[in-house]
Amino acid sequence: MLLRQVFNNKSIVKVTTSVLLTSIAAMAGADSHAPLKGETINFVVGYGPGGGFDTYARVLGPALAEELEATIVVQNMPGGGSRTATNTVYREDPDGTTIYILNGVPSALGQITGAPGVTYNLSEYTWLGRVNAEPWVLMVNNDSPFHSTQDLIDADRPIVFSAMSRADGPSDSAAILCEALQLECAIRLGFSGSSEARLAVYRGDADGIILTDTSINDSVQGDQARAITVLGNSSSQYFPELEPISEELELSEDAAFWNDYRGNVAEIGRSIVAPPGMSDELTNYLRTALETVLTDDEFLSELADRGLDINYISGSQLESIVNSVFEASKSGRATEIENVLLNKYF
Amino acid sequence: MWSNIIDGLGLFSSWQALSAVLIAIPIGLIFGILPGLSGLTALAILIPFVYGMEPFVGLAFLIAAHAVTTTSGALPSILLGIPGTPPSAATVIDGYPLSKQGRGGYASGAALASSAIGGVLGCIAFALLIPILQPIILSFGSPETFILMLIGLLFLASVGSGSTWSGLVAGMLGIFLSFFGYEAISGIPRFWMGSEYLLDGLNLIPIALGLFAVPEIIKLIQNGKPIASDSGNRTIAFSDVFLGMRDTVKHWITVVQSALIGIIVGLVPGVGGETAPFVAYGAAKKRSKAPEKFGDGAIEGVIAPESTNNAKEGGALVPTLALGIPGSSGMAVLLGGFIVMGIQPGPEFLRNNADIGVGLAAVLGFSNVLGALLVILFMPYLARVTLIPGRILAPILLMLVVLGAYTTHNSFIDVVFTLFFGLIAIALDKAKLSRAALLLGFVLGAAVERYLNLSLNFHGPGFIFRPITLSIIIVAAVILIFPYITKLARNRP
Amino acid sequence: MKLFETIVLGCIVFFMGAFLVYGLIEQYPQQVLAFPFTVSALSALFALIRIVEIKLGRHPLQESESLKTVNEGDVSFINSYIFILMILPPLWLLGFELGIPLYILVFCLYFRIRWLTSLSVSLVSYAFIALVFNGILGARLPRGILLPMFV
Repeated sequence: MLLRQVFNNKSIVKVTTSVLLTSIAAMAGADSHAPLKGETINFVVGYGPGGGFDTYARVLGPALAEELEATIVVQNMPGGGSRTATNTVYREDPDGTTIYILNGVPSALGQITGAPGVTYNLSEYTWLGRVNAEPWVLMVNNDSPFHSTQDLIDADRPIVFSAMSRADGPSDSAAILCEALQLECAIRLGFSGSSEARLAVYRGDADGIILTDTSINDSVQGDQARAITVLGNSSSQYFPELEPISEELELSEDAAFWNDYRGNVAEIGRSIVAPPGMSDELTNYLRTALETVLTDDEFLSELADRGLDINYISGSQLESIVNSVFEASKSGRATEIENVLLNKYF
Repeated sequence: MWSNIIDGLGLFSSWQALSAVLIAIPIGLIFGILPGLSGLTALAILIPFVYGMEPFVGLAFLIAAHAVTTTSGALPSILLGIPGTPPSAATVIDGYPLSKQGRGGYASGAALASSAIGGVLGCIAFALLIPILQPIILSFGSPETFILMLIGLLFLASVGSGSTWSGLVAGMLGIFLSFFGYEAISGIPRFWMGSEYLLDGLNLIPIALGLFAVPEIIKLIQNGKPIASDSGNRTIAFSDVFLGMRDTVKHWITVVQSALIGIIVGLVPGVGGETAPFVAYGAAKKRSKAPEKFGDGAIEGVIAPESTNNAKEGGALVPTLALGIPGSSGMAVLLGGFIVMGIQPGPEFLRNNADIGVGLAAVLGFSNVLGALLVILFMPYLARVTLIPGRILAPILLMLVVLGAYTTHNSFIDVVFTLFFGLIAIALDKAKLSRAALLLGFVLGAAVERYLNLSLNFHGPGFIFRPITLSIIIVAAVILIFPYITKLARNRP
Repeated sequence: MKLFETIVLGCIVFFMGAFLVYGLIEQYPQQVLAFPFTVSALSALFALIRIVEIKLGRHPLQESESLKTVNEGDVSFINSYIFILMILPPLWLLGFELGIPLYILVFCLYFRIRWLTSLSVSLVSYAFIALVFNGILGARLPRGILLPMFV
C-alpha cells in the first residue's frame, strides 16, 4: 500500500481488482456456457520471470481470466530454452486447465532438426491463437561495407554471422538467407546469448546477425548498427523503408521456397496453445475467448502503451501455418533442410 | 559536464527517488540474508512493481535493492557458514571460523565496512568511466574474456588451505560438473542421461547451498550446541563491530585491490559475478604476509570478497547502460526493467541522458553506504542467531535452504540435489578437498570452454598475441610471480 | 583418514571416467568431449600426485576450511543426515506450507526441546512461509499430493 501511495501505481491496483473480481465470479458455480467457470487455469511460461514471454503472460492472464470467468495463474517453468515446458505441456490433460504461451521459432526448429530432448510434436498441439509474430531482420555494423541485400550478393568474401548455437533462431535464419541467395557464408557459434552475439557485431568480429525486428530496432535506435534485410514475406513495422526480400529481389523458385519456409516458421511467433487432443467444443470456446481479448481495442492500446505488440491471428489459421511447415519438412527436401540448418554454413 | 553532474544529483535528491531508494534498501537486505534468494531473484520479483513509476525512480528502486543484497549476504556466510547469496560463498572460508571463535561481530564489521567502501569505489569507477565506456568494452573480445577466466582458474589452487593438488582436484571436479547440459556450439546436451533436469546442466544454487549449508546443519544436529559455543556465550557488542571496521581501514590496500578486481570482472560481459570474490580472495592471500592464516579466520579473507562483491555491480552497470549488454546475470534482469520503462540503454542513451547515469551512480553509492549502516545498527540483534541452540536452529535453517533451493527454478529436483550435494560436501571435507575450489571451478568451467572456442572460431590460435590479451597475461604473470621474488629478496641478507 | 582421502580422490577420477565412457558410447563428437577429456586427465594426474604426497606422509598441517568437528556430538553423522532427508516426505505429501512447520515441530519435540518452544518455532515458520514466500514473493509453492485428494 505504501508503494502505491508513493508512486501512484495504477497497474497493481488494476491487477488486484481483476483477480478479486474473477475469484468472486468463480464462486458463482459452473455454467454450460462457461465450461471453465470457477476453474483455476495454469498459464505456463517456458522461461523465468521478467522476460518477454513472462510479461505477455502476466498481462494477458487477468484479461483472459475475466473473459473465461476463471482464475488464471502464471506458472514459470524455465529449462532447456523453453523445451522443458513444451515437453511437459504436451503431456498434460487437454481439459482447459493448462494453457501455454509457446515460443514458435525454437520449438519448431527443435522438432525439425530432431534436437535431443524433444518429445513433443507441434502439429498435434491444440492451437488457440497467436499473440504476435515478428519478422527477422539482418543488421550489420555501422562501418560495414554492406548497405543492402544486393551488397551481400555482390560480396567477394565470405560473410560472417554471429549466433549462439545451431537452430537457435539467428543461426538458422542466417543459414537460410545464405542458401536462398547463394551467398558465401560462415556462421560462427558459441555466444551465450543474443546480447553477446550482438556485441560481436558492434565490435566488428562478425559482419552481421539476424534477430527479431524488435531486438534489431533496439540496436539501431542505440545507433550501434543498421538494418539492411528483412527476411520472409511481411515487412517490419520498425523498418517500413525496407522491403521483405520476397519483394525486394526477384527470387528464383528455390530461393522462394527457402524464404517461405523460414518465413512460416517465424509466423508461428508467440502463440497460445493447449495440450493435444482437446475436444472441438472446448477448443472453439477457448479460441473465441482469446480472440475477444486480443481484438479488444481498449486492451490493445493499453498494451501498446507498455510497448507490447499484438499481431493476432486465429487458432485455425495458425494450425494451417504449422501444418505447412511440417509438411515441407516431411517432403523430399527433409535431408536438404536439415543439412542447411545444421551443417552447410557452419 | 558540470551541468550533467548537477542535474544527476538533482534527479537523485528528488523526494520520489529518495523514498524509492529508502524502501528498496530494506527489501534488498532481506533478500540478501535469506540463503538461496539473491539479487537476481530480488530484481525478478520487484520488476512488476516499477510499472508506472518515473523512469529514474523505477531504476533507482531496482538498483538500490539489487546493490545491497551482497552487503547483507555476508551475514549468514559469517554467522552461520551458509552463503546468503552465491557471491558470498568466498566469505564463508574465513568469516565462519572467526564467528566460531566468537568474533562474528568483528568479522561482520569488517565485511560491512569493506562492502560499503567497495560499493562506493565501484560507483566512482562507474561515474568516471561513463565518458569512455564504449571503447573500453568493445576492446574486451572473447580472447580477453577467455584469458581473464583462465586467470580465475589459476586461483583454484590457492583458494583451499590444504594441499595445492587437492585444491586442483576439487576445482577440476567443479569444472567437470559444469559440463553437464547443452554444449554451446553443437547444441548436444552432455551427460544428460535422458533427464530433462540435466538438459540445462546443474544449477548453481543447489550446489552452493548443498556444499555450504547442509554440512553446517548436520553439525548443528550432531552436537546440539549453538554456533558460537567455542567461545562461551558472549553477546556481540558494537565495539566488536567497530573493531572490524577499523581493521578494514587498516587493510585499505586489500580493499582497493579487491574492488578493482570486482570492477574489471563486472565490466566484462559474460564473466560470472560469482568468480570475482574468489579471485579477490586468492589475490589477497597471495599478497598477505601470513597466507597460512587464511582458512582459519584471516580478516583479509573476509574483507577481500566483500569489497569485490559490492564493487562489481558498479562495473557491471557500465556495459548495461553503455551498450545494452548486461555485465552480470542480475544486470540482465535489470535490463528487462529498463525496457519495461521504455528506456533503451546504449551509447545514444548515455549521450542524451548523462544526468541519469550520474544519478544512478549516486544511487549506487548512497545505497551501499546506507545498506551497510542499517545492517550495523541491527548487528548485535542479528548476531544473537549464533546463540540459538543447535537443534532449534537446524530445522529453521533447513527450511530456509529448502525454500531457497525450490524457489529459484520452482523445481523439487533442485531440493533433492541440494541435499545430495550436502553429502558430497561432507565427503570432500573429510578428504580435505576444498569446497570453495569446487564452486569456483563450477562457475568458471563451462565459460572457459565457451570463450576458448569463440576465440579460436573468430581469431584462430593467434588470438593470444592480441595486444590487450598479451598485456593481461603479462600483468597476471607478474602478480603471480611477484610474491616469490619478494620472498627471495627478503631471504637474501 | 589417509585411506579415506585416497578413496575420495579415486571416486572423483572414477566419476569423470564413467561419464567419459558414457559420452563415447553416445558417440558425442570429438569437440564435445575434448574439454571433459582434458579435465579428467588433469584431475587423474593431480589426484595421483596427491596420493603420492599422502604416501610420503606429506600432510598439510591445517584442516581444510571449517568442518573440524564433524565427529563430535551425541548424534552420529549418518543419523543427522537421515534427519535432514526426512524433510522430503512431508514436503512431497503435504507441500511446503504445511510440511515444513510439521517437520520442525516433530524435529524439535524429538530432541526434547520444550513443547512450548517447539510449537512457537513451528508456528513462526508457518507464518514466515505464508507471509514472505506465498504473500510477498508470490512464489507458488506446491501443495503436496495428499491434500488435493481429500479436499
